[in-house]
Amino acid sequence: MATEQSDSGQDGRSIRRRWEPRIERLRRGWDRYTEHKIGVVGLIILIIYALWSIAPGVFAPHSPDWVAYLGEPPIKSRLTGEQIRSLPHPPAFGDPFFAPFGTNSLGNGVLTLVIYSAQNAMYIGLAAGMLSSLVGVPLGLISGFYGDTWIDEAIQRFVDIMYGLPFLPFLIVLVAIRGITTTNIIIGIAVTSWLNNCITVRGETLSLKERSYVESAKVAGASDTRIIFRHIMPNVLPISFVFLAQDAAGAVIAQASLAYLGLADFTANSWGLMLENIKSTGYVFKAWWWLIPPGIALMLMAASFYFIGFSMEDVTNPQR
Amino acid sequence: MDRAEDREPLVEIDGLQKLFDQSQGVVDTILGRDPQPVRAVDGVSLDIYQGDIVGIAGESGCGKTTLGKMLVKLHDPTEGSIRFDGEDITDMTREAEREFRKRVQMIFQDPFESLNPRMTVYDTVAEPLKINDMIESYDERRDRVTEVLEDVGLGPAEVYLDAFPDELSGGERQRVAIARALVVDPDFIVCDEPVSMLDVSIRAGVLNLMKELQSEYDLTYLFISHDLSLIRYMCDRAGIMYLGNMVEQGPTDDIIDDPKHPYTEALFDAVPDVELGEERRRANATGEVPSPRNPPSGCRYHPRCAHIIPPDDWTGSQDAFRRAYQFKLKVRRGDISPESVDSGDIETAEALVEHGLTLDVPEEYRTETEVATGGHRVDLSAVDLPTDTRRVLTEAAEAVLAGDADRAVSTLDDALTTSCAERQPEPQPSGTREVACHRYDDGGADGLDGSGAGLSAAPAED
Repeated sequence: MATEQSDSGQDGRSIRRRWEPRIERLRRGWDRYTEHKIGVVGLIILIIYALWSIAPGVFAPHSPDWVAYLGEPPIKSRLTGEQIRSLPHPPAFGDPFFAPFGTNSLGNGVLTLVIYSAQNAMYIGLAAGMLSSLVGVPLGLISGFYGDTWIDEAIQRFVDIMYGLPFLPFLIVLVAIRGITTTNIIIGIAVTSWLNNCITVRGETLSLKERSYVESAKVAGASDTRIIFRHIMPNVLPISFVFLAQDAAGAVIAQASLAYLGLADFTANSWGLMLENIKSTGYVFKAWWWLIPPGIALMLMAASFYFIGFSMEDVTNPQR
Repeated sequence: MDRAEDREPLVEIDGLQKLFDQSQGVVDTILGRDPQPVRAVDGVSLDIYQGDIVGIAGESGCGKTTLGKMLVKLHDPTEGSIRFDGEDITDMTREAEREFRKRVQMIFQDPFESLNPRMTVYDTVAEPLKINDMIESYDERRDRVTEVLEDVGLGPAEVYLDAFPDELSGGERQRVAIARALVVDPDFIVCDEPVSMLDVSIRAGVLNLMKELQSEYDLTYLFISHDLSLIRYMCDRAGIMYLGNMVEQGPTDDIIDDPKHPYTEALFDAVPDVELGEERRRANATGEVPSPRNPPSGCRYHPRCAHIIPPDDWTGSQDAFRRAYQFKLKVRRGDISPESVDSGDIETAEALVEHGLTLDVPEEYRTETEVATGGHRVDLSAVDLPTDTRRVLTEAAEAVLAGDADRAVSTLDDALTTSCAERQPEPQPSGTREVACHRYDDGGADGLDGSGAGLSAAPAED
């Protein structure tokens, strides 16, 4: 019993000893990240969005089903004609109701909708970004590592063909065939955005595999898998991180564009859908309080991803 | 130095050849071009005995690194075989290869590239142990790594274990690379220019360490370097490579004291001597290293060689033949044409011959007129050319002046031939060494009877 305990204690210590240098390295990376204020700003914006998506109820003044004049559901009465004519209502504070960004033509609070939409945008951005990294990075690694063989050739020709697909028309056809759901939109975005990932990672791998530490690993007897995942991938991941951020931003914007074109899941809240609604109801030039918040929210989310990507590039590729 | 003879060789290399770029592009296939592979290593044979330090020297691009990489199975040879401890390494089973990887290691040239920047020193050094399943427990592995790090002079090892390569100096990095090679307790280590990227001030330290480790770990080294003083310092035996061929090999001291191959001689002359007061001899070689894609026929060194062998019926001096042969090469390369001569005073064929017979070599090998004109012209009377050769040269020069380079080349091709260009010299034992040169074809430096005045006419050397 006593020996077992001391063994596990030793294990704990050895695990700590193993990870200590990596934590130290992470800390240095963080120092480098914070050197640029822009990255910190991006991170703060993203954290706010993350909090919004985790607990929108805490931040939003109402629930998304809240209607001006009538309040939270269950709603028993109806709006009077005069009340309907006053919608979309400009920002109102306390009288006749509280809606800091005003309301839309249905009487829902714009701020509430903006906050509730963050979840959808985050989901689409991260899911599409990660999906395209998950496809693009391994394919790029394999293609680069087996550079100049039929494997590489096959993957690259496939990438070339995919590049030929025009983005929006392809997405429209895909969504039209498979139905308008958020999942299908994510798949559509990922299918077209992993290409850049793949090509960049391939190029990086081609140069990394000529480094003598890769040859040194081969001399030590390392398998191809070990070389790819232990020696090349850690050196490629930082770049793919930059691409993940950019893909995420691109996905959010693409989703908004699709929603604006009417290709969106109408049961979900999203900024693109808000813009589509203001367009279809004809209030673009009349209700600025409805038009501007979703636009800015969209822009800030894309910007935060880009800012983070920008700062990550500095962390992963330091230039003194 | 012949202690090697009674032992079994650890590594036997036989007729090794490595061609790169053998595959063709689509365009080449369509146009029906033949592939022109780079002949990086072409027919090298070498035995390495247990406990020896064997040096491989040569200019950049002579194939010495490729040779080293084939010995550790980073490249597979195109032709020929490598036997390690009696076993052919070119097609081994998985098991045999595993065993081989434990016994053969390599130290690379650039310590800034040979360590993975994202692995700690511990991870880097322990990796061969992990891959080969040599030590199971983490703590034992760590102890082994500590021990090796202290052996290579990185002590106390605790300071280094968790460091990343970017925190270390060049010398420390190379010591880590050495530790990584030693951790599996190998028998044979290929060192590819191990100190060339290090500061001169710390080179000696690393070299002495490698010597110490050799006796401690009972190692055999193959030492690849372009630095001859390093080879002289480190190695028992040496091989000199030129364009993928091993031109001379034998005990280091013998090679340095009395180089037999003309290339070895030129290579040693090219090294600056630090000893004061001694008149330095410079390399007596013309031109540059040809492309390994299209190496010269016969002996690959013959277009640059100072001791090129004239044909048996040559009546002039060897120097005259060398000059005439250079003239032919210049015409073939298109270096000699009326336009290429800038001063404009060459209008007659005679003047062109005088210009073409000059040699681009250091001053001590030139004739008086050459020195006086800055290597622009040589006095024909100073060159002991047979009359009919002189006539052929003039004829060729006339053809060149008339703009018919093809005719000039064919005229010269018929008149000036040498056995050096016709067949490739086989390595011949000559004393303690093996030399691949036609001058030693029948086993000694005296095999020059046929070429008569050959050597004696070369500019005074001794």
